[in-house]
Amino acid sequence: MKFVIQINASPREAQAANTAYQFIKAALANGHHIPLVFFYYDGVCNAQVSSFAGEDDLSARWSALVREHGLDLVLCVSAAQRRGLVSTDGKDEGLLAPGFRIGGLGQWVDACLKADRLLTFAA
Amino acid sequence: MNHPKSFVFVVRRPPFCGGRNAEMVDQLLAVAAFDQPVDVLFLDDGVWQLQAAHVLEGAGLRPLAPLLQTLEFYDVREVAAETESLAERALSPDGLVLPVRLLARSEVPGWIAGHDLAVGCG
Repeated sequence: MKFVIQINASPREAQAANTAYQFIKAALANGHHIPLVFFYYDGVCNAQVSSFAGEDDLSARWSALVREHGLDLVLCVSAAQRRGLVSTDGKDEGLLAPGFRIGGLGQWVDACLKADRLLTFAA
Repeated sequence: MNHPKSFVFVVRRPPFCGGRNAEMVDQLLAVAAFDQPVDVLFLDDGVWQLQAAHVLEGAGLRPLAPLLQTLEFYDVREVAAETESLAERALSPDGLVLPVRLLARSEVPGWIAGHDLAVGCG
């Protein structure tokens, strides 16, 4: 089954992002396909490298998931700009953890149309 | 060509919770731009968004109501609100910023299930 995942919560705001991470790992282990993980609202903060979190740094775990499974982790550009994660021209992505990329709502809609399910994880 | 899918956006947050409401509208309009059928459902504290009296001049906060009133121009199919959520907050359907379809709480699950995709907002 193809699941599109939308994450609306930041890692430190709620359990939702970590739950999404665990769901994705379980889904991949069971042979499901995740064509897109889309970060929206405060969910874009999942891409921010934290210097305090240590082993709990979810952005590092997301990056590892990309290395292991080739996941497509996309941040909504406008949501990321509003929260200062990327510059207003969308070119400075220096604050993002490896494996995340900037995209748009069009990619999210397109993926939803091709997927079997959309799951949203919110605070 | 993808098979068309119907979307419903479920709004449960009150107004003025950061920029989330404007972001919800952005997402909703992106779906409409792909010519997919879109509906919106307001329930719980989300029904406050439909109240006309939200003006906080000088607070730097932007109310959602003017954006909601433009939805019909983007072919958003239907705006619905849960009757009980309105009643629990003493909101009258007559005083809302736009005409809505009223759904009883018992009707909401079936109405949402009639869509291909339900999107939780915020």
